[in-house]
Amino acid sequence: MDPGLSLGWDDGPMDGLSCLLRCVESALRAEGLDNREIAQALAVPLDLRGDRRKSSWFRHGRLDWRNAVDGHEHWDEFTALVAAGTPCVLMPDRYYWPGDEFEGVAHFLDHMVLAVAYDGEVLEVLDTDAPPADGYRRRIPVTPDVVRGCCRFATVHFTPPDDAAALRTTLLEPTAVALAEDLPALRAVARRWRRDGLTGPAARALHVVVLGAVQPSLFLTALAVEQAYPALATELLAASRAAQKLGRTLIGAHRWAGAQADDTSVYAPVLAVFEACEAALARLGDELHRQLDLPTPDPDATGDDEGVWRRIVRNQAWCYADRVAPADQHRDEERNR
Amino acid sequence: MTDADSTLGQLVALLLRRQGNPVDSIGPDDRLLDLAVDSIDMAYLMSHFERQHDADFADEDFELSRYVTVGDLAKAIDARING
Repeated sequence: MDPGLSLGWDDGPMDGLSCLLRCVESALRAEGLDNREIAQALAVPLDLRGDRRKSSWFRHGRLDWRNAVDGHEHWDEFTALVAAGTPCVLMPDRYYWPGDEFEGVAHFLDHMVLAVAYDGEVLEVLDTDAPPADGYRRRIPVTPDVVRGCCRFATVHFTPPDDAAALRTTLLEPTAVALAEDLPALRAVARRWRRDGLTGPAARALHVVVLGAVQPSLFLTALAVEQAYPALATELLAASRAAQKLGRTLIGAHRWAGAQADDTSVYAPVLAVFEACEAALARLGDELHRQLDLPTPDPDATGDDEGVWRRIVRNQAWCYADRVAPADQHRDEERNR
Repeated sequence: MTDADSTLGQLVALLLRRQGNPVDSIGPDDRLLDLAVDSIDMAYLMSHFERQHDADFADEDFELSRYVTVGDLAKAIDARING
């Protein structure tokens, strides 16, 4: 994780990319890909509803996740890969993660690091949350709790990125179509928020969706198409900045709310930021349709106003570990999606 | 003594309620960096005042580097709210 090389790195590692994508970016750079190739490899069509793409699949690659209730189950495989020089994305259970704000408090899984070395006693990871002075590296002495907490990890598998012609059909057009379908559901989230407020767990799930998927998709798509479609890249970056502001404001609100706050008033100031992001996405949708000369979407075509909220609820369950499942079950679910 | 209803008073009260706040009391001359205020805090603080006063701050108002002390920040917010 090098501020001078990394995509979009301005003030910090979370500029532009999520912790997951920053990990994958590092793995791909180690394989020799340049920044445009990395952006094109990681860019996926925007999907606010989050159910159009198989989890962990990209247009030209995938992450192969191993998921266990207890990290001991796959510790040997994990450490053998890392020790042999295969970097692995690791999603630790923060309850067991040393020094984490959730250590010994709650089973919360929303952060990912890249495991890059293991010597039998110490696990070395690249971590967007690690001190910059340490090069965003942590050296973690392995204890039974650390092993227990290594319950989700993934290997990275990508083929070379696509050509410019494919960007329209595999990236921009699907984004335009999905955005037109999802904007009513995004507005429904705003109505629900105005009516019921937003609790801490839901707000955390929302920030994971925004910073983990929506904003990176916009940002990476902008970089991927900036030569072929410069005007659209500008619109994509504007929407990306609006999404980034929403995510950062939500994270700020968490600092006033506490880990499991049910005080919905804390998140009320963030609603206006959400609505500004919604407006930026609506502008992007209009521009995509205009510049790509796509048919004007029917605003009532989908009839699904709950799609985005369902994603937030799903994410809340996933991040709070309600759905930690044995690896076989997880893979069955993935195959069935 | 800070008037609790003033912008400075509201800002101080907010800063004191933030998790991890390192001090028991805050005054206008306290430096934001010494209070561990960062750009993430700024995003929430400014959004809070925007909503409370139905105001619309400019993007640059959110930049932490424009302010040194709590008093600087309170004055800038005041100027935006009250013109």
